[in-house]
Amino acid sequence: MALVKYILEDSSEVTIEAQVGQNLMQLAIENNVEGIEGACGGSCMCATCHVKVESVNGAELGERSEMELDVLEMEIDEVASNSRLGCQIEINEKIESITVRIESIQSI
Amino acid sequence: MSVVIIGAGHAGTTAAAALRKLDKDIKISLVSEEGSPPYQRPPLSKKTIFSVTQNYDLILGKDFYNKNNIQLNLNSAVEEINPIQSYVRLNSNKIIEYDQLIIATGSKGYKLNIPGSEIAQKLYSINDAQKLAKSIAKAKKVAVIGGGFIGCEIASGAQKQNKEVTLLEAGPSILGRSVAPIFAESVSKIHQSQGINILTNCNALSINARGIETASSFVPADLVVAGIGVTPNIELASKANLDIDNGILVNKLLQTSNENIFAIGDIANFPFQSDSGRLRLESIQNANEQAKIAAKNIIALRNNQKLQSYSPIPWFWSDQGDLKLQMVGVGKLNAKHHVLENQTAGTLTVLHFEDGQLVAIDTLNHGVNHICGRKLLSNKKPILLDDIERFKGDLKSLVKELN
Repeated sequence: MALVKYILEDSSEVTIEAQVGQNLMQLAIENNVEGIEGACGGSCMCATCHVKVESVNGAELGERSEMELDVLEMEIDEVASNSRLGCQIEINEKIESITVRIESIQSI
Repeated sequence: MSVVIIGAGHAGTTAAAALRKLDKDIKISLVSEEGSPPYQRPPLSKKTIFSVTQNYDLILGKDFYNKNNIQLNLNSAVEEINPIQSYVRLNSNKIIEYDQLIIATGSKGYKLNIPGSEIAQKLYSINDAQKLAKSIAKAKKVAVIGGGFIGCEIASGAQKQNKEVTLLEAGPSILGRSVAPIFAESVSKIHQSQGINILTNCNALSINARGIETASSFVPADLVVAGIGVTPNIELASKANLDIDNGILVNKLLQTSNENIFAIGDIANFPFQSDSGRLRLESIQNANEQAKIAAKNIIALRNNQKLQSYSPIPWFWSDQGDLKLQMVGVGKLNAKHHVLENQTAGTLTVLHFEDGQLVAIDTLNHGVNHICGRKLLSNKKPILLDDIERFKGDLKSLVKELN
């Protein structure tokens, strides 16, 4: 279990308990977190779950895959070093908490 | 003002959420025949049927509907649309009046019509998936009838679980309707090399508890699954006298022959590119984008504003074992197919050209080229083979130059 804090675009914050195996896109959708859309169902084919990772406790997140990086580059004007697709961040046993800032891209 | 949405698949559910985002006050009723809160269908054939937990992904949070004042009617079949008096009647005889109606009734699987076909399992809903998951877990020999995307996903997933898998395809090639022939052939070879027995030009004649009888052989199987395509659910619309032809006919604004009734998702047959061309798509991209446009247009209609046209760059994906197939654009079988050279091993990219212009791209395990394809196809100026060759197959650099 890990605590996931989402910082919304209006700067308000939502913290949700996540189970191992859940990804940050699906977790946000199931908890009605504004600004995360997941238009491709988590297949790394759009950037409607774009977040910036502010901090992680307990473990390092792995590197972005080439595919994820390319989707980000194609869909987002300025990709930051902490830009990620929420669907590609999966909670594992080691992660204790993670804070992400939502920077929404809408599919239309 | 009241909007009723029939069908709570991706299209209907997304439309409900989009409408609420655009207007805090309208009454929204979402009607679903199913008992589960709206869920994602793509993972059913990719994940759910191969998992012991049989988890499934929701489209929106369970309490989203309550929180957003969307009336979700589960286990509710619509019995009648009355376009004259603008209401729908549910199987409970409940009447819901509407100012605008969205029909998003999706499609249903074609039924096999051979002796013993009741033995074959199907896969369309979460109920089907949960039943099939149990059967797959127990099965040793799996036979799949139908070599389209769903059939290939089921077959390759079962093969990955070390089942003995046979895939029966009535046509000359798997994925025959959907991708370039050379692409289909490559995918077929990979599946065969991994142990799937693919029988093409092969019709199932009958099914019994031991397997499938075909014209040339008997295929032993303790589990038979049929995935032979879907057909749009048009009965309600047809009874309401809406124009029907391979689905419900809509204009570019997604209105049916009745301007207050919209149709979206699998059932909508919409004008595509030229005035005479039409297209009906069974995909998430189509469902999502049409849902949002229909929602915007309903609000625009109400405010006497200009309505928005739907002119998509269609995309689609299929996960088959370890293979990821991604398609963008609309390819035709008579297009010229060009295999992209200088690509990473284990990947394949096939470009479709029509009248010299790029119209579609099929990629295998190459997400980057797929994303590039979406950019290239949305470019104002058509992309020619010369453009591709100038960059020696490096689509990323071509996209960068165009920006």
